[in-house]
Amino acid sequence: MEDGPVYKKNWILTGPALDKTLAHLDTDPNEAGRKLLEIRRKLRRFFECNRCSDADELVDVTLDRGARRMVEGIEVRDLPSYLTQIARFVLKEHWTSPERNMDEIEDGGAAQLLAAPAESQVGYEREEQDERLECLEKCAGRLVPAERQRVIDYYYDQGRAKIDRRKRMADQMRISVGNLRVRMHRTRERLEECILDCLKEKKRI
Amino acid sequence: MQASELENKLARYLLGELSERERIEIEERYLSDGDFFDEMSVAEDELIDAYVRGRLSGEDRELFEQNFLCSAARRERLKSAQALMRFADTHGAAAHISSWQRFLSILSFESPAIRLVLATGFMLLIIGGPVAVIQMNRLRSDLKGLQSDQIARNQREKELEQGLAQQRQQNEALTKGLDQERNERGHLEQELARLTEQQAPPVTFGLGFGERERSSGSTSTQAARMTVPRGAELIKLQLDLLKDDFKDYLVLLKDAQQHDVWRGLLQSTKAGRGKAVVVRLPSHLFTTGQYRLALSGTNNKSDYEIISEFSFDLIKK
Repeated sequence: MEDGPVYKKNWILTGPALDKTLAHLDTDPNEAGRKLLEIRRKLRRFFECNRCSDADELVDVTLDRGARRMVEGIEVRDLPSYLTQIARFVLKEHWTSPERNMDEIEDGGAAQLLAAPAESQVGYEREEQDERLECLEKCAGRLVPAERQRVIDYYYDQGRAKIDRRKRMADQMRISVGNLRVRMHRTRERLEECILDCLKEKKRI
Repeated sequence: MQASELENKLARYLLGELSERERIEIEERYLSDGDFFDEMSVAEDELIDAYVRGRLSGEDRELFEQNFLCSAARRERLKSAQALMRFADTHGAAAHISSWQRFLSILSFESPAIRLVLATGFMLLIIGGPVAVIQMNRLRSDLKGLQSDQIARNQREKELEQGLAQQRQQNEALTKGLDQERNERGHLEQELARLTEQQAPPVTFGLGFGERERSSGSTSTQAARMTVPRGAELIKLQLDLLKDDFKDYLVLLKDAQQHDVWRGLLQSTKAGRGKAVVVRLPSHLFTTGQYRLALSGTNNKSDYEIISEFSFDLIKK
């Protein structure tokens, strides 16, 4: 018996479709993979900034749709900007989707964080924050000592003292304050990833 | 646009306060420009930190909670930022004690040595009057000097440790890179030896299974002693494998003094019914003596698992 038609909604990303998308980004598979991850990060930010609670899911929808259109034979010159256009459509659909409202109600979103927590919840949150700090200590311990010290110096202090300290740090490293900020952001991203892994590991134990 | 103006605009965007036109303008920019995306990421960090430090106005706080904290991932980032601020405050406070606080700590009489000095000074004050006051001040200033020296020494030690750790890391990276180069060179030498083999047949030895496999109970056809006739140019060693689990195999040959004689990254080949790693080595690498050969496996050329070791005596006649 032959398979029935595959409806657009039921289309799933196949190996060849992914290969085609990657090949469109770069001839070198490693570089193509890196570019795809970069696009993912940007699209995730785009959906988050448009108040979508499940940004990752919408990124997948966008990428799947782009890959499907290419398999269908649409000629795409600049894939990143083509995906940006698709993302805007996906966002529009998301905002008008009736399922979205239900999801937001079920999810509770930020309201969960803001509602006055019960006493047991407070205890749990404190414990979780302590665990997180423990993980951060461990993750920061894996940095080279100079980098660990930089993290402390960068995030310590507030107001004018913080601005002056960051200026001094940038001068010592012979880079601009802007570059220092980007560098510290990358370190912070690494630490955040490491904390998440560490917390997952703790829960497994 | 000035840096602070841009930062402010990005913060307004993240709080969901811009008009649709301005929002689209920013989105187009960060979706197509990597540097601008970095600026946006930094602005996001700054906004989260300002919230954690309680530096947002009441209105911005509300916008942050309503608009910014829309996803689980962002709520997760907020929690990590809270931990990061606690981490920096704890360690920063310890490292950044002001000299004024240090001076106050001297007066807090926590150190027994200082207590003794001060007690002596007090006695002298009563007995010796003004002379004792001068003496005490001198002692106190000496102690302060010593403390400053100690702090400077600690700082210097810390800097040296940091420098050493960095140096060690660089050395490790260099050694790793060098080994990788040598492994690749070994691989090329093998290719060359395979071509030479057709003109001058090599002296072949089957070393059988290594010591680990033998201890796990398999039979061995090892050649513990190998005699190489004078004039032989190439020596071919066959290392049998119990299991062929790896993409590449690292062969490391050492002499009796544990000096590296040769190393190379090779692939397994068919040998009879099983698989083996075959090494072709120019005979000039050897003199009569004892040798030890270590065989490791890798699937990513970075983590190696030791598989087995072979010892043999080689005699050149």
